[in-house]
Amino acid sequence: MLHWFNYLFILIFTAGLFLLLVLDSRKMILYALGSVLLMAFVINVQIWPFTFALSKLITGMMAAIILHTSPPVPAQSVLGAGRTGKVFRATALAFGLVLIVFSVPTVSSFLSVNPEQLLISLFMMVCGFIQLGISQNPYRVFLGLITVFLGFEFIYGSLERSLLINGMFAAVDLLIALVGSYLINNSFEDKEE
Amino acid sequence: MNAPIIWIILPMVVSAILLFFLEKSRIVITIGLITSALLAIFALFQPIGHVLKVGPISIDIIPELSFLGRAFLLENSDRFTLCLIFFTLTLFIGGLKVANQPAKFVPLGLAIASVMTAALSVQPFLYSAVFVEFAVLLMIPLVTVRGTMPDKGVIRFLIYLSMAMPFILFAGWILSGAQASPSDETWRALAALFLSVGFAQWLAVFPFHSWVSQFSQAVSPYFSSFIFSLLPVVTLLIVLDYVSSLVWLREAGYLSPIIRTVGIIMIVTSGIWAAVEQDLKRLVSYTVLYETGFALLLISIQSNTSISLLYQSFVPRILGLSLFGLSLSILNGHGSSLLVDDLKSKVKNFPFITISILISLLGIIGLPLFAGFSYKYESLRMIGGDGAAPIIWIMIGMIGFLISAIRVFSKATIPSTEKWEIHESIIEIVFLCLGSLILVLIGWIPQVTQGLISGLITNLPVLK
Repeated sequence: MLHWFNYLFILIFTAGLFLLLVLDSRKMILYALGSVLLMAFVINVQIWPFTFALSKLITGMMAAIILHTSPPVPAQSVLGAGRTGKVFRATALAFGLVLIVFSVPTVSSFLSVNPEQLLISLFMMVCGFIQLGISQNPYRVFLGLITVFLGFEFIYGSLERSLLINGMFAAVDLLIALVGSYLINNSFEDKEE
Repeated sequence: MNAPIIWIILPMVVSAILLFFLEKSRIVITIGLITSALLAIFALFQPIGHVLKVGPISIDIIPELSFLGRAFLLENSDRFTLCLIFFTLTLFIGGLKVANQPAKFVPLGLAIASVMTAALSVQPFLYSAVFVEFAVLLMIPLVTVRGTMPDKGVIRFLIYLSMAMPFILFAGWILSGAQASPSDETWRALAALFLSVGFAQWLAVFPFHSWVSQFSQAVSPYFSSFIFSLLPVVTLLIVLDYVSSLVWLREAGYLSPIIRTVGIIMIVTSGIWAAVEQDLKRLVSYTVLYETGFALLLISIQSNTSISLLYQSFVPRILGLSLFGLSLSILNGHGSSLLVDDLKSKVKNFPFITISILISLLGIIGLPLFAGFSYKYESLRMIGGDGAAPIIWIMIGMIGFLISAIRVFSKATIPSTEKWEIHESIIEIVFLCLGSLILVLIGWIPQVTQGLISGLITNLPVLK
């Protein structure tokens, strides 16, 4: 770890991920994702140039807000929207996080990526995969895709700093959010003849 | 003028303009048709890197366009691919009205073709993964219907194809490290693993194929056949370029057996599913898996002849799929169900649709005198040199598809007391007859298409 206080940021980051997965309120989900991205920014800015770290925060927030503008869709989770589903999602995330915590030292030395960055990116990817895996709600699916890609970008950004590739990542994130928002809005319009 | 401006930026600009005129569908279709046809013809006849002289004006077609330190490179060897992409688009825009599909296909189709071309031309090559992701995202608005929630199949399509991007990018990063220390086996193995997972997701290779049938069931058969005509072909070309550029990978002893086994599994499983499939929309997806299986077999042979054959096979494949999609779309447009059981005596009302479905199916199977025969026969002949077992398995897959064609034929021609009454319109009959005729002619005189294509196929990827 770079600094002892990063533990605190990672703790808030993890709590944000749990809330992202468990909460039903769209507003709260937006706040949770915002806090996750903010904590990621605080960690990234210690390693990356300020503008580069900021670009990831802004892209993530813009994608989340674009997706948030779509109307709410009734929950269609495979496991239901009830308490059992929430417990399952939280448990799945907890197991994923434990697995990552144990594998981070090896992977970190293998990829030569800072452990904090690796930890947050893998946490985000696991959280995204859980959303993709168990939800059929388009909002959740697109949110899951954005979460996975943002997580991947934190690792990949440490490996490859090319302006073009990182610009394209930002475009992919925003396009996912736009397509998701279009798709959800589209489903609420009058039926095509 | 740079070639990427012509084949990437121009269609994108036209697409953006057309988005504002969607209400005027006739104009949108006409402009889209002219643009895509011109781009296909231009790719067919104009050598890249040469000067184009039109009266007093001379335009130098430069192959490269630099952008933010990276480049888009379209060379003469890419003309076949360009021709294929824009010819496919022309074909589908041409049949749009007949298939009774919305005009949004035109701008989205142009944008998809443009992004696919960018995916094939971007340097370094690993960035192609991001462009394919853009294309996939553009396909989502194309296949969704207003007023309905996106289907499970569409969501799965998006997830599976999107997940390929991180795998391929990560493999690309590992490879750049592995090239610095080529002796490191661990890095190579890891790169090969990531690449194979990414490519398997793109090509819907077993075991990442489950979305294909769900997707084709969920969307219009016309759009699914367009996507399945373009996406697997472009991704196959990207795979070939990747493998060709990595000497250690193409020389690896495990490459050919793995690709061949996966190809055979795809042919057998898709054949078995096709034999028992009730929904004709889902049958479209099995034909794609079957064709991809054959494409993998040809890649596994790793010779110049097999790769040349693979390129040639794209033409009957795209034509067969487009005719299949068009027939199903017209049938659906007449309010008919697309279940095999509901085809009872349909030959009396829809004789041309029934015949077109059969011709496209038999062409895809590779029966003698039909479009896919020449290259499927050649593939079997090449594979046969290594023993009889693969041939037997492939034949099982082919028989499965033949059973499905026979089921369609027997259901559609069940005798009934109903009188003959053709419900197809003249324009539908013209399109269906034209498509069927081209497919049959390709089967009868394959050397004509081979002659046309062989001039364009230069600098094939080297796999051995």
